[in-house]
Amino acid sequence: MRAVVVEDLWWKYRTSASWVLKGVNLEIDKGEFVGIVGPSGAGKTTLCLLIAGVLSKSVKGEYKGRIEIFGKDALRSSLRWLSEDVAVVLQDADTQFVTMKVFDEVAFALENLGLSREEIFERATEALEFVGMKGCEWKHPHELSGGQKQRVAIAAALAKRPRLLILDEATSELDPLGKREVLSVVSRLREEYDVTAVIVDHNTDDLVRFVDRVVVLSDGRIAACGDPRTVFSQIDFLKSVGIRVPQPAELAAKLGVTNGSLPLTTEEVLTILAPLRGRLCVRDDAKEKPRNERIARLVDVTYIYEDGTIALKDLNLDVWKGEFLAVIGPNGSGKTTMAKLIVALLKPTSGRVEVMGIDTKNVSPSQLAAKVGYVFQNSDYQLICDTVYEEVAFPLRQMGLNEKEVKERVEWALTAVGLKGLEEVPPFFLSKGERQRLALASVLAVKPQLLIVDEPTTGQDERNSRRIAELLAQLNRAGITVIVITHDLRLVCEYAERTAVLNEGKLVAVGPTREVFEKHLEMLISIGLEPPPVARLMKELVGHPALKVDEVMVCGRS
Amino acid sequence: MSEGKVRTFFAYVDERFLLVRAHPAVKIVALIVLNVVPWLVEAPVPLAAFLASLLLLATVLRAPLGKLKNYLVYILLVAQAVVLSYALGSKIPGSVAYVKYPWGCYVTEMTFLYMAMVMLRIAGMLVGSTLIFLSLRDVDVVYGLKSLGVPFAAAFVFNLAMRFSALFLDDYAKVRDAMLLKGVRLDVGGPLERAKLLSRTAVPLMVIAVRRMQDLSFALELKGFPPKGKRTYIYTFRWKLADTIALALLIVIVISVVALKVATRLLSFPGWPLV
Amino acid sequence: MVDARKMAVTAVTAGLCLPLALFAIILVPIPGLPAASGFWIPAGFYFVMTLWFGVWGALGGHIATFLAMGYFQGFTLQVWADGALGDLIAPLVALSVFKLMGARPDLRTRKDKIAWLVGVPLASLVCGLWVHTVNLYFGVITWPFWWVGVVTYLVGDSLAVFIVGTPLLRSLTNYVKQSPMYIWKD
Repeated sequence: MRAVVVEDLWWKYRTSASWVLKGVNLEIDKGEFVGIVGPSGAGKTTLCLLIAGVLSKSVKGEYKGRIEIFGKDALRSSLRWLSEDVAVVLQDADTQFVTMKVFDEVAFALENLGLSREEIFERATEALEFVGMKGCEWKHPHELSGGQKQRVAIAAALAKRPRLLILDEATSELDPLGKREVLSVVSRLREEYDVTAVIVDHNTDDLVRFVDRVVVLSDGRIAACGDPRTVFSQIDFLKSVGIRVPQPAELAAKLGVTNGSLPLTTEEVLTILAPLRGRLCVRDDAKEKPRNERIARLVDVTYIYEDGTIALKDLNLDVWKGEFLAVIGPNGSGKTTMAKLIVALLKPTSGRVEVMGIDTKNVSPSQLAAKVGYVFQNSDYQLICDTVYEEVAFPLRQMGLNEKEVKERVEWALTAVGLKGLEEVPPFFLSKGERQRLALASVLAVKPQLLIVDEPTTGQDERNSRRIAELLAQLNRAGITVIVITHDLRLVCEYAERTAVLNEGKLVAVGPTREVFEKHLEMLISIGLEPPPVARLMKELVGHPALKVDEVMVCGRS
Repeated sequence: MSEGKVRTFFAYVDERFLLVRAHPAVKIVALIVLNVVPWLVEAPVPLAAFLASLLLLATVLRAPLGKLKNYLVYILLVAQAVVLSYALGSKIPGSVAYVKYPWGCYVTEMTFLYMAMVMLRIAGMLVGSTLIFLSLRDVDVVYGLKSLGVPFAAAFVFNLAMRFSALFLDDYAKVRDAMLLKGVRLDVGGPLERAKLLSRTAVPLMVIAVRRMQDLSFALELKGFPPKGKRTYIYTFRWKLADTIALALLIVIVISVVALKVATRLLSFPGWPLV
Repeated sequence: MVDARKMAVTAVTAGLCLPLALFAIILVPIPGLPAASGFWIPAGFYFVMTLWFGVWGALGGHIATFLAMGYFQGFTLQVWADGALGDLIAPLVALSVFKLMGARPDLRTRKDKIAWLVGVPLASLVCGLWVHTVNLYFGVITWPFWWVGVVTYLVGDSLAVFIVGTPLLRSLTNYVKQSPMYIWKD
């Protein structure tokens, strides 16, 4: 029996004009691990929630076709009947945590199934041990990190002993360490419990290591389906659809080396490129910009939160005018705290933070707003007006500009971010990527000299990520100093000229990006960061990391 | 969790506080009774006796009465309101009229007694409720209501509300930060102007709330909640002799108070009904 | 019958309004009046939630008010009976006005606006009457002050609901209509 059969599935939300899923056909075997990738709006979450049986019963919509889960009709069967076989882990770790303690959370679904107390205790304990959360049974959700919360969510799903586990972008908000933890747990699930798993994710570099099959969803249709090697070999196609190509495959394709098919992992490429070791070189075209003016500096900065947590300790960092600085580090390393200190949202416990010569202890964030812009990770917190136009105009009016100048700046900012023509649209009707760009536009319109962007590509598909990254690079070329806080080291390598690495509140490395990756690659890995495959590969092969696939060349004979 | 401490509604309390071990149903019934009794009683002396008994009980049960300090400001404000109301706007007949106002109200010695009665009533309810809430763990509310016949799904909403209030507290801080970063000055301008600016935070908060609502409903449904059939409860509460005695006592108290109020004037304010 | 969606509405409304209620009491106290607020911010939210999602939104406001007021005043019968119950009744009155008039919460037509302009003060008045009658009954205030309390409630609550609630209804009703929990059929 197949685990999942989707036959000619069409779905339209009541409020949408067009079909979201258009004739999807998919079969998943028992025990298979399938990855679903695709650009934002392709219908991935809709498909997952329909397979889980929840969407057709909770949301008004129209559908055609059928879905069977282990022989049960998912579209028409009761949720209780389906929930015995299916478990889902959603993207938002917080919202799906519905109880006040870890153990209660894992036991919750089992209680609802009416299992005996003994069995509930046994399964919950086993599940928590499996995900590495033993000892945390009585912790409250606010005591857990995002990765831990998602592990609890997986434990809660696992405790049901589902035959089908669906993870809908469950790792997108996690740092690289958290992502790896979750994926390795799911992989073990397959090996030890023969669970069928479906995972939706944008990060193809991680996905290729775990999945048996990849389904590419685009505009509501399956654009490609097959084993990862076959699918990810179609580099041009993937790029056209807006999917991130695994860097090992991209590198191998560029160099024209394959082993019958494109390699997908670092290890595979290493094997293939080993014979070329002496002939490979890394091109370094980057020209270091002259450092003449400091735009911000942190001098011996320590920040301690009210609960006693030391977020930053004796931090010293200069930010140079006109540079593109990336700030990286594992979760809890103090990156966002540092950013908040620069924009004066926080005042240092000790030390000094200066922005354009102004000590931030003496100014409020509103007073710095005209000089420094800050874009949040979740742009929804920043969108307060009725229309796109008003959103961008709001801070300008706060500055006291006249309407003529407001109009000019709004037009300029919207054009810069590619949202011209959407002036009258309410912000919350925009897609996630558009909302992120709108938040950026509202900050840009003020014409700040320094722009801080917090995790701009988290949860975004490749197309949007690229778009935002290119936009930031463009702004930097136009003279704006850009600080990007990110876990996406591919973005760092491709765009940032300088990188600062934080760990446990301390600055552990800073310098030109190439230098940081050259000297500290092992350290970056040891603190849980995920350098791009091409950096690790070239470091291994020629002793110098490459920052981009384009930098790698076959130079000459050895 | 701190050693020897139990996490309750307010914070961590010493596990030697005996009321923590009571059955949740007893706690909920006690909460109701300890509020209904002072509400029914209008005589100052019985109210004073009730309050004194509560304080004695709290001591015997080893309740962390220090928590009552948090209500000191409220008590003072209530006292102020009561004094103002009755001093300027009451007509409670007594033997000596200290002040008579042109608008017909007056102050007698019974006015002071009545003020004292009101304060004793408020204090009695406050001490009684605090005593119970100091012993209430989050499971007690849900399971207590359930054992009194409230559907579990309805009782569980209370738990969910507490869970989500922490999330929204965080969201509010972020939205407020975003406003400041847009150049909004919340320390200048008149109250109405500031209120209007502050009200802008409502939009993103509401958008986030509506999205969370959808996600939460999916999460609950995917966890099979509310269950259609039989549900198991991992927490069990053994009904002990002490719970029986406590419940019986509470019932006796309520019946006695009602009977005394109906049949006698012992629990009425001296001179009731007032002219 | 309680289902997951209704629970989600109540829980999220309560979760959203509780910190706002605590802020309202701390930031805008009324001198001399215990645990009262001159600008009851959460009212703007739970009124709107009730208009969008029905009685479940009102229940959320009720829970939030009880917990917030209880935090400062103690979780007593008096607190539940006056403020918390009052804040359950008020948004339901506004909802009833909209239903009776056949108005919609997006405030597009003249009828919608009239329903809002009439419903909110009426709801605040009913709430004020309720709250201060309960306070009277518990003996906290006397008759002459009952009127003062009712009028301040009418003004304070209406102001908060108009200032906070109006932009929410205008801006977000179209967005919220997509939600399966929205109670109005267009």
